[in-house]
Amino acid sequence: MSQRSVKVLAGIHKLYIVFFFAYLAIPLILVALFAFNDAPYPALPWRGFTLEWFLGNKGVFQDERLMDGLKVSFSVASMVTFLCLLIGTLNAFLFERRSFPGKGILYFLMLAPLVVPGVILGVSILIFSHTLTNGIEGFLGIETEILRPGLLLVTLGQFAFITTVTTLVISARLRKFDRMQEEAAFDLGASHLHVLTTLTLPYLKPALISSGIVAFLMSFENFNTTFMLVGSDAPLTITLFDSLRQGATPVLNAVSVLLILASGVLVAISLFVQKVDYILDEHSK
Amino acid sequence: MNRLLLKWNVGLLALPLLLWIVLLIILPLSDLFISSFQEKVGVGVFEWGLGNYQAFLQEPFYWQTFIRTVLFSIIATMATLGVAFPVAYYIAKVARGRVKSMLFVLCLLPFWVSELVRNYGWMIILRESGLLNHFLMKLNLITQPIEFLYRDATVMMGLIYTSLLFMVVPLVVVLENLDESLLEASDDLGGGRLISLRRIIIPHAMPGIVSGCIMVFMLTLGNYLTATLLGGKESLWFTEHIYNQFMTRWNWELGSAMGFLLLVVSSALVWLGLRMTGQKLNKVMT
Amino acid sequence: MTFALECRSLSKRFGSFSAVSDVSFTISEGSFFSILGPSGCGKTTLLRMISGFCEPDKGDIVIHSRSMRGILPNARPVNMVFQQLALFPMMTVFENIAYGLRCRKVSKKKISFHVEEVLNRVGLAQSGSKKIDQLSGGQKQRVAIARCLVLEPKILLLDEPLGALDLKLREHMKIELKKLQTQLGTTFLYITHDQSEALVMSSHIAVMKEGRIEQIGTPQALYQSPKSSFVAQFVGDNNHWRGKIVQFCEPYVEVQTEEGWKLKALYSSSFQVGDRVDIFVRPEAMLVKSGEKKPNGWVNCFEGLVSSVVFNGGTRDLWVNVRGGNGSSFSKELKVTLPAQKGDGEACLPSGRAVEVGWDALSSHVLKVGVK
Ligand SMILES: Nc1ncnc2c1ncn2[C@@H]1O[C@H](COP(=O)(O)OP(=O)(O)O)[C@@H](O)[C@H]1O
Ligand SMILES: [Mg+2]
Repeated sequence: MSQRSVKVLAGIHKLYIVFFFAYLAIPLILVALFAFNDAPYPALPWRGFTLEWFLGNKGVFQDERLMDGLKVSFSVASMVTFLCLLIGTLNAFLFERRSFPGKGILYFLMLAPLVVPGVILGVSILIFSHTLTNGIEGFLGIETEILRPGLLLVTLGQFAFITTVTTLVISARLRKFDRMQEEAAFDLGASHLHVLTTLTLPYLKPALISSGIVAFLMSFENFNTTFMLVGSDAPLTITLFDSLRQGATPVLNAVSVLLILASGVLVAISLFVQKVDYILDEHSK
Repeated sequence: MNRLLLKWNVGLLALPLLLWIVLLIILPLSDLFISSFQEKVGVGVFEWGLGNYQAFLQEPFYWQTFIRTVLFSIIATMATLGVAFPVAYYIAKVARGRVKSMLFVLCLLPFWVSELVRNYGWMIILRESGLLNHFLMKLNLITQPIEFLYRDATVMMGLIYTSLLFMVVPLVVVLENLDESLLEASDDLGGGRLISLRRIIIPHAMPGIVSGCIMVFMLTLGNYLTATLLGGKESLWFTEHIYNQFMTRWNWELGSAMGFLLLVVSSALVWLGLRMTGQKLNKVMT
Repeated sequence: MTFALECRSLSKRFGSFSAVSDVSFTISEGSFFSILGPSGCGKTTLLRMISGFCEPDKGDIVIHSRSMRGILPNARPVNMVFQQLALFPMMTVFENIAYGLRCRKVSKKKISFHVEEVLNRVGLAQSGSKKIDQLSGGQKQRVAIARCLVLEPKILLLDEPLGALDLKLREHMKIELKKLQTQLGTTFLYITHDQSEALVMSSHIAVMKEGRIEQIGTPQALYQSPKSSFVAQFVGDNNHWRGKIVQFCEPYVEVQTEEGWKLKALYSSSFQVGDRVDIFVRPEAMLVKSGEKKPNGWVNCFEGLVSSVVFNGGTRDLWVNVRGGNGSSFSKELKVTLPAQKGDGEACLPSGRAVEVGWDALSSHVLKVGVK
């Protein structure tokens, strides 16, 4: 190939990259931009800058439905994060530290939630909880409200597939841990629990933080599974979806800006932690 | 250590995993399966049978949507691969140092924002009173606003947008590990760019391609938001049928049959994809 | 008499592979005891059994008259310096050393007192606040040792602690370790595959081969009277022949080697004509002479050519190529070590020079093949 055509090709490649990133960024930038437009609809022409849609009477913070949705999402995401980290850590220890018959099959099953579409996961949990409720009522004559669609089911449904992600991240970190350190600590007189809290868990901390953030964000923005299991208290994504179908308003843009900012901050933290993690790794070689 | 103690230990550690897998994955999916073979014959009275599947096949609207969804998902997956590959290659092999990590992070960022927000952005741009129409009219390219939403092409574009991350990341990871000297050797031996691509880069990137395609295919097939928000009545997605059966038609049995079909097709295609490219699920996913 | 450590017929199998078989030895208090053997011979396995990380299949470990059966590693009065050190990278030097004391719930004040003291003793007085990755290899080594010493173990176990260091530092640390041990009086159980480390530092050495102990003794005893061919070859350099006793000629026996040489060695009553024997001669016991005059009085004497000369500072090694007897086509390289500064002509034998090499029958060591 001639020098020239190589150059042309490289130029086209670069141009493509520019277009690509524009494609990625434009929708988000526009959503954010129209949160500050002083017009009742998120559309051109530009009518001047305003913070009305954040702070005003009709702004996000005054919108009870959105604020409730935010609260619900926050509590569900916190709960899901906690559960996923806990079970993910236990799973990591099980798969990385123990050998037992059927381990391969169990590992495969652990991965399975990744290949079950979210909608299907949602409806199957819905059906199962219905069956359980009916079963309990039929056998014991007790009406159980707890397994009706609602926040418990939403939490369980999200937990069902996010745990796979935390398990994978934490396992990967645990695999890199130098077990000799644990033996050394044990030799110096530490109990198993002490070894865990002073060495192993601190080592896992970066993975716990970043997979915790991932779990939180996945839960917060989950729609497919949540949609099938939601009851009367709706998380933010569901509230937003309903509002969107009724018509776009700049308040929705304002919420979006808040969401973009929040995820930006969380992702930054997670990247920072991973970077520190990486530096630590380099040093301990 | 005591053998018995060790067994207990493994058992205790495995208990949460088993509870999770059995109660939230296996039993619900089995229930879905069972439910799909139940026919309603009266109020609260069911019989075993294939009626739900027959109903599915007898209603062209259902199975046509089904086939359309699968085909569209395959096309969207291929298109995502096509769009993502040059980007991943650029990040992994052309960009250097800070630019490289910055581009990579920039690639990730949009996807941590809710899919809803992303689609909302596209709606602002593409709807009848949207920005695109505004500009096209300003430029006198059109006189009447065009509705860009609710078209197949728009849905396709939105699906690609939503899926990109899951393709770019695994591709960057495998391409990062590609030894540059291999490419140089190939160039040196007189192989053109295309030959390098076909003989070296793509075979090397295969695990990443497979894992990206599986993720994207799964996500597209099971997509609901993008398909509903950007697509309209004419470009219905199969998940919408399932949702309707459960939430508005209140025909859970038919919904289960549809859900089960979707699960079977997606698992089968994933399996086929792995089989054809000789990859293993647990390798691909980690 | 009580011993610091007694191992009583310890055995350990991994599947069908026997890593340690029937190992017994005792270590008296305050000694520097080494276990020497090629890698893979089961040294680490043995040490892990003593520290408690691995349960012996058979046998017992007794430390200061107390059986260690069923006692977990964190409750044993021994501490181990790991082959790869296993320092805690996220902690400072101080925290690393304080780790064991904290596990014992020692008060803060006492901890800092003890840690400072031990840091002084290993020569790292100012380094308490440093991170592990700021230390050099030798310093890390000393932290690993200090981390154990601060707990005042009955026995300190060291698993090839010098293996990761470069040559120069290793030479230095050998002496340091020996000094430290003498000064502390703690019993050291030291594992190595390097015979020179073992010879320099130990008061006693056990030589291991394929999971069994070949010989236990002082470095001198092992060097001067190895009980097996393996020990003779593994501990120090040796020139080696294998052959058969062909006749007695008081006070010697005559041995016909496989290469066709006839050698004379001292007679011993256990020999019989026809016995297969190994003959070893240390390089420094070899005699060498050049010139017209045949050396007289050498019991074994051969003609050869100097093939290479290696100068070692205090000594010089000559490699002398000797051809087999009776015109056979065999030839053999013999190693001869000479003191370096010898004024006369013999000291500067260049390579290529024709020489006579030999040795006195007293200097050779004869072992019957296949007899322990
Ligand atoms: N946990 C184990 N499982 C199986 N074989 C082992 C295990 N630990 C050690 N071995 C085997 O036992 C032999 C002795 O190992 P080791 O004690 O580490 O030798 P050394 O420390 O003398 O080099 C080696 O052949 C090794 O492969
Ligand atoms: Mg070893």
